[in-house]
Amino acid sequence: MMKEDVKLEEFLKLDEIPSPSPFLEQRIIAESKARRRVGLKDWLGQIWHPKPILVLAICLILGFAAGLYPGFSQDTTRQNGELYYLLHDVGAEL
Amino acid sequence: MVTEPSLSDEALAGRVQEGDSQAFAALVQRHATRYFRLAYRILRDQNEAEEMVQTAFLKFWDSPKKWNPNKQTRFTTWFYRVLVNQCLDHTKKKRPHLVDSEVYLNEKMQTTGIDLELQEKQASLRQWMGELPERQRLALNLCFYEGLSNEEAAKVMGVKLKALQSLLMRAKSTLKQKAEKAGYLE
Repeated sequence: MMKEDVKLEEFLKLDEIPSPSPFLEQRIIAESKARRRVGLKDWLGQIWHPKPILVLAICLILGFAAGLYPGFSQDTTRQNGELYYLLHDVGAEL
Repeated sequence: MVTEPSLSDEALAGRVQEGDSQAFAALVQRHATRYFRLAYRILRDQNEAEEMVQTAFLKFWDSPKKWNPNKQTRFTTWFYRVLVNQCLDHTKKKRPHLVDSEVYLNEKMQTTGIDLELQEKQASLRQWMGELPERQRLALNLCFYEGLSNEEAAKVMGVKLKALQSLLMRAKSTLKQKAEKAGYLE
């Protein structure tokens, strides 16, 4: 390396920068943990407070399942028969 | 899950992809300071630099699959690229910075009389660095200050190796000329 290059490098090394806050790392880690907790809370919130669209989707799925499952429609018990027609009606109305 | 300190960055990043918070903490503790240094050199503001580092790490935590281990890029190189892009986007969005001469004057006014010559050199260097074109400054930061190899720096910047070498050479040449003119290299 030429002498001038060495001098230039020495000159460039004069550019000092401050240290980061001693809490930077802890802050990032704490925030990542907080985000994970919020995510779980949101997920639970959706389970306990389903939106109307979710209810409709479940009704539709049950309605189709009731129609497709062979043993279900052949069931002779009165209760299951009523549920079958109820779900079909809901599906048809939607 | 216990994270061994000897694990490579890539192994840790893989564990983060599986949701291992300890691996994430290990990556943060290992690299936060070096990424802060680079962000600070781009932004020249401690709070903003810390914010950028935090945002970049949390983006990785939120979407760890964005790092693709199959692309044969080291995690640190990939993360440098994420951080650099984020800092450059930030500089475009934020209000116009104090012009370099103003920064220079502010720094001169803060001079306390201790080692005036050194402080004057440092202020000049910062001013001249600020006057360099963005890509030349970034090349210098990555290669000289962060110690990345030319190949790695080229990957971070998304340029060919020859282009990186050219940027680096022009940056050094400009700074050398200015330093010589000011008599700092004698």
